[in-house]
Amino acid sequence: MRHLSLLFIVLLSLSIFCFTLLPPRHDAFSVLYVIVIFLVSQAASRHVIKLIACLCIGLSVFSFSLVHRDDIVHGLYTRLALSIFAILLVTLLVLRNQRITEALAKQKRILAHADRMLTLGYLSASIAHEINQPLTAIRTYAHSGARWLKKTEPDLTEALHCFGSIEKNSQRAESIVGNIKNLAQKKAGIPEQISIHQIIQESCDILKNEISNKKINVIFNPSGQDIQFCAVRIEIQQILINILMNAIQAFKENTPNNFIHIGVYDMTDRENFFAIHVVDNAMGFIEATPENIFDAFFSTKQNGMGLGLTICKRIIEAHGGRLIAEHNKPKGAKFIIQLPKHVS
Amino acid sequence: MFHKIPKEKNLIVILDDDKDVQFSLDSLLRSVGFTTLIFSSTDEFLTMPLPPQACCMLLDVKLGNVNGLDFLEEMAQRGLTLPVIIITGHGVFQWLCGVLKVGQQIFFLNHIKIQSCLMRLQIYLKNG
Repeated sequence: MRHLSLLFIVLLSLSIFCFTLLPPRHDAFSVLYVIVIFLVSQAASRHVIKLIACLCIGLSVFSFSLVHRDDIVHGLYTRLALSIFAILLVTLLVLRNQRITEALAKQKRILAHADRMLTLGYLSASIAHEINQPLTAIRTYAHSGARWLKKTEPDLTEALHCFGSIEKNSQRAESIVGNIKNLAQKKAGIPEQISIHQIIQESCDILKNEISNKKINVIFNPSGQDIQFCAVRIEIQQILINILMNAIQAFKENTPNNFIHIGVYDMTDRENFFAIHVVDNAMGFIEATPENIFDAFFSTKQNGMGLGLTICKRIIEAHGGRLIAEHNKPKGAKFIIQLPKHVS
Repeated sequence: MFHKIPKEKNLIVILDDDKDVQFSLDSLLRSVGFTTLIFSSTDEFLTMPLPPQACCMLLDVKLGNVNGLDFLEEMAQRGLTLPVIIITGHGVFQWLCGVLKVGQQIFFLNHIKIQSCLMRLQIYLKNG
């Protein structure tokens, strides 16, 4: 695809060049090089755009000198000047446009990062608990390992088992810390192959404590066909955690039969798309509607920034998907994440 | 010195939903001469009659969706008067003050000083 567009741009430049050489005096057509610069700017870096602009100006001058080689003194220099002026102007605009787009993307990244940090803040007690479990196991195993060895008849098998378990639990603590670190990272992630079942499971694990605090029954049956898709891992995790957290926070404490149902389905009406449904039976949309819930700075939570769902929607749309909110019948909310299986 | 605990009194019940913590406690208690019986959930624990030689229970303060302290009350209602040691990583002093009224149960804060916890357990079992 990239090669094809490159070939197209080269052919276009060549044909413009040939066109300007056509007799009698078609050199004014070198103004068409602005199309080349515009096309190049879609994918190239600032340096490449500048280089291409210089090349275009060079070609214009070259064809001008070829066309007007007989009357170089009385040549129509205003034509050349106009072409060069047009090329320079378009280059400047294109560069400015690119700078603004980059700044915007950076702002979005910062916002998404702030949202993740906020989430981590909410979850700090749970995270501490999660890390504490393997640490407790490690300390206890260290004690018992020493005791098995200090016996009058040391039990090596038991002691070795303790050491093995210490290693296993260090790995467990490490992977928890790794997950958190990933969520806290600031730089833009690189798309990778993701298993949908695995990432849902990981997100549920991060929220394990909040789920059990409110006695919520999370129904997620990963036995069906797993779907592999290409996306930025932390972004997808952020979406899932955000939507699940919303569902969890919508439950009042200690009401019976709380459930969150997570389902993964192949979409029948859109080829190569799949959908993740997150359905709960909490209070649903009160004060909010499925339409305005994605608006920036709209929040029904006391400490909410009102950006979580806005960011989620933006991320999903950047992946070529859609995020839909609906009322669940008889009560609760339903969020549908639609994503393509292959994101280029 | 732990060998002196009478045979019929050295069974300790472990009730913890985290497999790793569960097995580490099991290893530690066996290393000092206790026998252990492990349960992952309160339901699992309640389906079985309490063995008569059970002398003490290690109870996690949080068992999935079940609050360990709520479960203490349920145990009292069912007439299970087993001494209980609450295992917790959280500071639960305030809760414990409320719960201490429940009955003939003892509470230690575990997780921080395993050594002293074991000592106190041993003293308790000797005297009790």
